[in-house]
Amino acid sequence: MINFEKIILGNGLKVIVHTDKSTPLAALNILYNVGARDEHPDKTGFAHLFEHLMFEGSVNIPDYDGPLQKAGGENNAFTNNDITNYYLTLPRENTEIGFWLESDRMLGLDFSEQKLNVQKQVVAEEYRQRYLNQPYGDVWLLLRPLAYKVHPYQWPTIGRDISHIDQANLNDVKNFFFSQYAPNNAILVVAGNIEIPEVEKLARRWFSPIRERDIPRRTLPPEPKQRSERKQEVERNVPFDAIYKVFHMCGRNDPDFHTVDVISDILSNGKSSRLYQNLVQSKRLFSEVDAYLTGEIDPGLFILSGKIIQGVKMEDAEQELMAELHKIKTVPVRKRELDKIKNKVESRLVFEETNVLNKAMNLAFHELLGDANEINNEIEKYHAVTPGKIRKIAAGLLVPSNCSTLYYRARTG
Amino acid sequence: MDPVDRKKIPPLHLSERIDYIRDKKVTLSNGIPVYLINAGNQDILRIELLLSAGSWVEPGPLIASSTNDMLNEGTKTRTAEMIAESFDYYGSYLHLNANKDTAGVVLFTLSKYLEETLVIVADIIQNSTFPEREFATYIQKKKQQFVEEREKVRYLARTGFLRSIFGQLHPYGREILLEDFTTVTAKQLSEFHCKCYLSDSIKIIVTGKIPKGIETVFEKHFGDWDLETIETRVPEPIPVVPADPSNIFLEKENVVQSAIRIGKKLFNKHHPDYHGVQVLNTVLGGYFGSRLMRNIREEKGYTYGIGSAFISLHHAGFFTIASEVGTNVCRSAVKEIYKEIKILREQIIPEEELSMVRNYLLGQVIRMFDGPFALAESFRAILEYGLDYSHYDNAIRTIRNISAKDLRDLANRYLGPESMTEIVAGKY
Repeated sequence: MINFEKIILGNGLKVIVHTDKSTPLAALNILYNVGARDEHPDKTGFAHLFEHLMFEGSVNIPDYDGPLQKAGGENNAFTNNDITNYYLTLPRENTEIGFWLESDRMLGLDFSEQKLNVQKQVVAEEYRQRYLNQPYGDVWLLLRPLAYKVHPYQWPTIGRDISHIDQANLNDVKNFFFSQYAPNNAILVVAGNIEIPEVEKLARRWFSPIRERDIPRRTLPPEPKQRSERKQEVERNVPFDAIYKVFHMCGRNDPDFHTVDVISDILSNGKSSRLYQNLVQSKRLFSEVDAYLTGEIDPGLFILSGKIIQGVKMEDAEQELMAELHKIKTVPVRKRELDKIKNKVESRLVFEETNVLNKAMNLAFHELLGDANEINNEIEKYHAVTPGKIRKIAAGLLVPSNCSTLYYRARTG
Repeated sequence: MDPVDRKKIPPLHLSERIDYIRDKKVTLSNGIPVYLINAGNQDILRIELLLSAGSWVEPGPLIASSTNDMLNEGTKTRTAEMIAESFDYYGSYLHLNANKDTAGVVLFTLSKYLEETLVIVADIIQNSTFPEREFATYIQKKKQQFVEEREKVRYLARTGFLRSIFGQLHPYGREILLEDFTTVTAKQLSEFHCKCYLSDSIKIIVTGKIPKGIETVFEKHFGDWDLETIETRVPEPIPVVPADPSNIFLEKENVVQSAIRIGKKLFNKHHPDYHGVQVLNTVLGGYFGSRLMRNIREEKGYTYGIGSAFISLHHAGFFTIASEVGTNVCRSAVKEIYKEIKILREQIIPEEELSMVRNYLLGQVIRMFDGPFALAESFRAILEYGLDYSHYDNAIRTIRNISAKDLRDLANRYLGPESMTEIVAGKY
């Protein structure tokens, strides 16, 4: 159970406070309700490039990292298709320095051509390091456009193409800031060894003077229902074949979400899971195999991926994978197996509560989904999953007409 | 409401004292020490069994890591599947880890399932059987992962660097070869297990909200073991054959980035200059605001990330700078790295920068003792070196007091460019 208090400032900023006296630290997490899905199709990768610029100095503070490090703090950020999330931890005595830094970069950035150019290069190197210079690194550059034809989930956070980053200009940067970064488009969570009135005072002092801004209403085209199976085959300089199968699933707020999550856990969470036991250990078809969800807010993807053992034919491995899907669609899951998954979820939720930064991030994300308190109802939602629901939802989800398959072949010779 | 001055940093507070929760040691009837650290609000436990069973004592390549990885692949009374199912059923996590010096298991469990999970941990440590079929599956899987790893420039640079500074015959430098996967046998694992796991080197660290009477639970599962005495294969310290500093280029086709490693063999936690060199390392490349990051990423845009590290091992230590950079700027990046080393050796670190590094590091010390998991890691880091908490008191003292001049002297003593080994993997 995570107790918290919620305050909404006059400018629309939502502030959530969770007190945990067992730590000498305080964590600040600011979630901005903007991600790669909000980008123009010709300017992809922008939300993430912008995240880099948020560390390049703000209107009154030329250097973000310096003062934070001086206060014993540490910070980072991530961007995904839905959100851009900034976080820091500090010794609790210095919490106000976090407020000072975060409020100033919400107020405005110190935009400059030179800083933009350097960060464009840094992001280009990130693109090379993570997507081009690793075996199997470009998989998501291929899978997203295969699965999505209309919805902006068709491009990855890093961008559809490296050239999009290169073309970004200072005008785009400024427009993006003033149309997306605003108190009324953000959620601030403070978690740690700090009392609620203190946080409220700091939030009002530093954030209340920031005016609310006009945020364009989000109107994203929904992905039309997939009607037929899709396949793509590529050949790359990798040592082994790999196969990826993705299925369209419900959104994060759909009542079926937890059932789909349990399905992926039954298939591949832990060494006792079905895919590991049957396809890795017993039949020796894959060296690794996984089932997981993107977990995105709009309807996301259920993913099966596997690296195939040398000498095994891709088609044979695929057939066995399909046989496992058939089983989960037709044979009811036994009680002990389902209890195992629920125990694992329960344990994961308890372990996540040992860290204030984790708690701050999770509270912010649940507030974005609609209500931070739903974090405390997660376990009940998993407990409500039944063998009947699993079978029914798997039968609708894991069908060929809802599937895109990527055959990722090792180049021979 | 008070008007705010946004140009001015709010008052900065520095903790005068950093408190850490200490361990309470109990000894089981056969001599196994159990260190209890009571911390946190959740009813969870982290239990670590630590053994001298790393690659330092293995009789051949892959033996230490494979033995450790296969502990849960079957015992005299439990199959691999039964073991996996039990841990999963109780929502616990078992981490197996073997490194150069030590090996062991870490169990994360809800306190209410301590008995149910600990009995299996005791079983896999004592009674693992290393069945042939599971071994064959494991080795095949590992071999594929190895072949995939070898495709990464980062891997080539890292292994090339260690081989170069320690030598291919040394346990810290030995690089894994493809044929190692065909020579290692299940029988070797069994023998290694007998010798190194049923051994009086075992230590147990327990952190979390410690329930009353936990000592009896450990006595029940571990107190009646009959312990062999470990014979270490290389009891004497590291062979004193200093590898010549060298520049090595490992070419790889079809890459868009090259990996760089620049560094040298150095000392470990027992050396009086250890903490000072850690501070120096932080200035150079040990945090986001470091000189390497500011110059090579934030000013030049050559890389997504660059950092340096000063790593302690039981019988040596090493210093290393690591980055992956665009192939077209690789030479310039290497040049800039040496330039930053030169500046550290010639110029005094400005007080403003040094005080930032001091405060940043003190914040890191607070994080090292925040919560049961961090406490466990920090405790293990002294326990395995036979050090006590004064190691951390000394660290804090050095962070607070070391002078800019001392740091320049350390840079001159230990970071001479002629003593560095330089590896580039990719295109150059």
